Formats: sequence, structure tokens, C-alpha cells
Amino acid sequence: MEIIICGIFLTSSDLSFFIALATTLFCFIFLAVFILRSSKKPKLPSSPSELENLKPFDCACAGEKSRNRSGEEMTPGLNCGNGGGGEIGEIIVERHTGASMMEQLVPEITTHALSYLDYPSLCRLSMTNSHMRKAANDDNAWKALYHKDFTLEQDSLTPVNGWKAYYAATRAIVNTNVEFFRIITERSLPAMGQFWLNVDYVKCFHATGESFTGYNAVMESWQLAFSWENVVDFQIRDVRARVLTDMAWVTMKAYLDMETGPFNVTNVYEFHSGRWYMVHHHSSAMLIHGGGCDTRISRPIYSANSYDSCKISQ
Amino acid sequence: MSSSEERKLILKSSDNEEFVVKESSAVQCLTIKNLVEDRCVSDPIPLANVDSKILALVIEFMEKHAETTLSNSEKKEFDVEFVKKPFDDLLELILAANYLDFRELMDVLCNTCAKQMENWSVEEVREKFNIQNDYTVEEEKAARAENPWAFE
Repeated sequence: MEIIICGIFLTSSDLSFFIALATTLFCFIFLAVFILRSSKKPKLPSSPSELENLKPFDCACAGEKSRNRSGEEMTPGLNCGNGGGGEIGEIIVERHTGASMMEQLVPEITTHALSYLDYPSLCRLSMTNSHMRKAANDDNAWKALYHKDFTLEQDSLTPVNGWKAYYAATRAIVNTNVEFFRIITERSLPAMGQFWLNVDYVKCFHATGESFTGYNAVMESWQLAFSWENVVDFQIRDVRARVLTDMAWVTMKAYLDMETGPFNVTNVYEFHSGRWYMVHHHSSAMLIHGGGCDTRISRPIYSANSYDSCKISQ
Repeated sequence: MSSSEERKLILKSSDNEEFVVKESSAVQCLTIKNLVEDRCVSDPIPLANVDSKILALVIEFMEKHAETTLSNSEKKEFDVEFVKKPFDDLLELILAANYLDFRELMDVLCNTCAKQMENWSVEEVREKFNIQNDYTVEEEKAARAENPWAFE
């Protein structure tokens, strides 16, 4: 184009000038037609002007679908007014005449809309097509979901791989943590053996106050704990997890039964060979209402005999 | 009774059907509320993006929720019955609620759809929302590879 324009100025004769001008104009017209063709965005119906500023989705094309359903041939692409991300282009639909409702909303699907979905739904949505993938992988949506499902803490963080990955990692660690308590309930020593990292620096602080260092000592302590007959069922609450690339720590409160007071538990994990291993466990009884609660439990917390444990004073 | 309680508005759907509603109910839709407050109201108010079938439903919801005599649990019961509609109708209602900026309706509808979505496979999601799969085989594999952690 520039070449043509330059050509116009360099030319000296009138005839060549006019030819060049005509060519330029032709190019402009051609380009304009080309652009119009490739975007194919019909004008929006005139809607109340306030609309543009207000809606959570900022989308004035609701109802395009219903018009198209009545048989209009044209399939508008995403033609919402402020055109954020408007390259979404045309979507030709075989079954219905009209773009899908989701795709009409896509450019303006805000965190608000996606916030109604749980994490499997959000993942499934991202697998449907490329536009949904972009929308459903939105960082803010996953940050909001993280705050909803896990904790409002860590709000100022910027996870290295984005919030979706951070959510996934947190989910994995929380599941691993749940697994720990299941192993205790089942009193499965082999499973506990698999669960811990087989190194000399692992530590385990039972609620009795006794502590053990090194894989073997820790396993022996669990063997002893599991030899107590009572089966315990845990209720885990207030789980807070902080996950780094290959290390994570989780704090929580463990509730055993009505008579036993809750315990503060801290678990630390390391990531090796594609899975999380426990490297540190620390459990301590929570003092409830001051005096009258004897925290010197003579047996590990995993026995639920009430006479031995903290009574919650009413 | 103050005169504003009796003020009525006429809403006109995209297929030119007119509906009379109380202004006090209609202002639950922020779109309409802003029109009224800015005195941009022409009579009737044209709603070019909502057809009569959907507008009738929106008005039904609107009037129910504007009734001050109903308790919250009664409104919730109404909501539960209200959303027992074919999914396509729900989608159209969502679009209308979005257009009208009717937050309460939007909330109820989105929650319903989200709950239903929980049980669907990827294919079903595509079908119900009429999403065209534009992935190539490799792209689809890549997309799926991002998400297995959610389904263990």
C-alpha cells in the first residue's frame, strides 16, 4: 500500500498519477470489503443505552439466538457490543440455526458466571471447545474458586503456574491429607509405611508429647499406636494448605468424638517421584476452657477412651 | 398507598407483545430501574432481546419476588418449581436475566444450571449448551491432559 502511495508522489506525469490513484482507491475498497466480509458482525439492535455499562456480562446480544431460531440464515458470531476478545468469529451450527448460547456469552463470561460452577464442571467446560477453554481456564475464575473451596488466605499470592494449577495442587494435597487419617482409622501399617518418606529426617510428634525421628522409629511408633484396639473416626476441619513446587504443609483441627477435645495437627509433605510423601506430623491437644482438662494423655490420641482424654467443659 | 406503588409500566417484547407490570416489581431489573430513574422511559419500553414467552416468565418471577407478603421460604419454594423447565428455556431465561440485569433471577438460574452440569459428561455439556467442538485431535488430547486431576 505504501509503495503505491509513494508511487503517486514520485510520478511526474498526470496519466500515471491518475492510474496510481485509481489503483490505490481500488486497493482501499478491496481491503474494506475484505475486512467487512471476514468479520461479518451485524449491528446490534438498539437497546436501552444504559445496558452497556451495567450488566454483569455486559452483553447486549441476548435474544439474537431467538431471532435466529425463527429461521434466519445468518449466523452471527459473537457480536456483543464492547467486543472484548471479539475475534471469536463465526460458529456455524448444524442442528440449530443460531450460535450457541454459551458462545454468545463467552467474551463476557465474567468470573461471576463461572463462579457458580464446581471444579469438575469448570474442567469439563474447558474440554468442550477452544473458546470455552480460554474462558474456563481464566485465572480469576480459579482464584475465586480457590477462595470459595479452600481459604481466603493467600489472596495476595501470584502462583507461578497460575491459579488453576495452584488449585489442582491444593486439591491433591488436601486429598493426600485425608488419606492420612483414613490410614489411621484403618490402622494399616503397610499403608502408613508407604505414606511416609523413607529417610532419616522425618519426624513424628504424637499428641502424647512423644516424638520420633527417622523412618524406622516413626513406623514403630505407629505400630504401637495401631495396637490399641479402639477404632477412631476423625472429623477434619479448618484445613489450610500451602503448596510449593515440591513441598507443602497443611494445618488442621482433628475432632475425634464428643468427649475427646480437638487436636491441632500440622503435616508436612515432600514431593518425590510424582507423589506426595509425609515427612512431618505434629499433633497437640487443644486446651479448652482452661483448667479441668488434663492434656497429659498417657496413651496416643488414637485411642478414644473417654476417661483418658480431655473432656470438653460445658 | 403512595402513588409510586400504583405506577405501571408497559414492557414490549421483541415480538411486539405488551405486558403491564407494576413499576415496583419491574425495578428489580436494574436495566429498567435505570431507565426509569433517568427518565428515559418511553411507553411502552421496548425489550428487543426478549421474546414474549420468556418475558412472561420473567414477569412471573419478578412479581412473585416483589411481593412483600411472602416469606423467604415461600419464595424459595416458588423458585424450586420455577426452574423445573426444559433446559433450553432456562438458557433463554438466563440470557434475558442478563440483558435485564435481574440479579436475583440470574442467581437462581445459574445455580440451577450449575447443579445440573455437575452430573454431565463433556459431550453432554456440549450438547446442552450447543457448543461446537472445534478441537483437532491433538488439541483435544492436550485439553484433556490438563484436567485429569479433577476426575480422580
